[in-house]
Amino acid sequence: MDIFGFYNILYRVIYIYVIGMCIWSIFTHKEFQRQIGYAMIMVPFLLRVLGIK
Amino acid sequence: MAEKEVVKKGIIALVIVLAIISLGSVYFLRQRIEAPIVSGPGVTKISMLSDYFEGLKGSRADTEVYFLEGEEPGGTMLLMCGTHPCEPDTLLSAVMFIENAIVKAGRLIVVPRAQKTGYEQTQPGRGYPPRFHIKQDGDNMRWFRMGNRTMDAAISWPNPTVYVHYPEGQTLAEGETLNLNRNHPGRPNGRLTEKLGHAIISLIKKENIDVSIDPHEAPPDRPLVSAICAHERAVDVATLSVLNMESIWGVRVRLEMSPKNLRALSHREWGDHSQTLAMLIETPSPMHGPIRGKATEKLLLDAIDELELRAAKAGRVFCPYDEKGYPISVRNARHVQHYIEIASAWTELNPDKPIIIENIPTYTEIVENGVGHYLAVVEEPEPWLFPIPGIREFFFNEGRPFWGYGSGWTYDKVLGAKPR
Repeated sequence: MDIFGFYNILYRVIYIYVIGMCIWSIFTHKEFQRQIGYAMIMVPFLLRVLGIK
Repeated sequence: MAEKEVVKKGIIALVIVLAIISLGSVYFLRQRIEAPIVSGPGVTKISMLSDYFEGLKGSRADTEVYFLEGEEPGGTMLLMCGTHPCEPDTLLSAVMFIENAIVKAGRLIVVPRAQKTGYEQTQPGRGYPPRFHIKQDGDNMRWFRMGNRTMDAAISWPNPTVYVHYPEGQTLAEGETLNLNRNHPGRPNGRLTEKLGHAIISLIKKENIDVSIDPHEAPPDRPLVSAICAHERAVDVATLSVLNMESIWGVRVRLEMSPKNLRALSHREWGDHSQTLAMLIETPSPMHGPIRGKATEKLLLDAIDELELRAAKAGRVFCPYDEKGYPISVRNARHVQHYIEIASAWTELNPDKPIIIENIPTYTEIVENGVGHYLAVVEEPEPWLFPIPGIREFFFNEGRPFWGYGSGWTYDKVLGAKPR
């Protein structure tokens, strides 16, 4: 595996961590606007991890 | 109880986000649908670029290579089209050859979409239409993608802030790391764009390609426009083709020498790193230049822009530009005829290795009859945003979309040609 393959795995791990933290935040905050905010932040990371964009 | 409320609201938030992602995903994935290309009577083989470099296999940058082989032996010519997917006629000229050309002597190799990932997106901030439509005989409309100048940045991340070209060491801006025409000859262990450049030079070497053409379009306000830029070994062939273009077809094309100190471009690196005679052709199109108005499908097809006209009157353009613009039929005719003239010039200078291509319309025929007249009729419907029956008719009113541009524009409305 070359360095670019390593970068590929590294950023996916980081993004999955970010997605996990967002989901955790959604279910630990009481205000609905915060929950929506964390959910919206998750969108680009999810699109990237799923390989859609 | 409070916790149940939090969980319920969290689930609602996630459902909203998943709905947004689903709708957005449909649009993004739709952009990856390739416009169909029909193999014509002259196509003898279709292979993939990864056959010439394993490192490209399985990647989104791998692309089709069409072979048109004549019965008589001769030279080999390469059309490496689609280096910049924001230049629409490069793909159209490749399709013209794939769907019509019959090679009598020698071989013609056509790569219609060299920078394939560029066709899966458009350039951020430019406002390009995602696709354009060529009217054919009758009511049929053939669609093609309008793309980005460079590779998809997301699949080649991270990119260096300063791009140091291999092997010459010339430094370029960060954005050029994704530009295929700044990644020749590439290297096998580099970023994806460099791997793509390496695959192309491998193709040139392994197939012993005698003549390589890299077609482009450029805005009239750019210095290298309406021109052919040739490697020093290709000057004879390029000169003869330019003379024929002007004397036979009345099309003036400027001849430029490939600068030896400007590295990374196809006309320099292909010629320096292989046996091929490398040339790059530019035809005028204001679509992707800095001086233009709204980037509509109409501008893409007829290349008439008020701001470009003002620049022309102020003497700020490098080729003739007037109210007639450069319709897609004229640009396509220039590209196609110039490829034929290059093949003829090679054959005249190398009669022992002829490249003879037949069944291609002439410059005059394409300008008079339009591009669509010579393309295969594809009955496959254009994929739309939502695959829901009736939704397209709901949004489209008399052929014009409610948001103002898109497949509502028809070629005959742009130029006033009568339907056949």
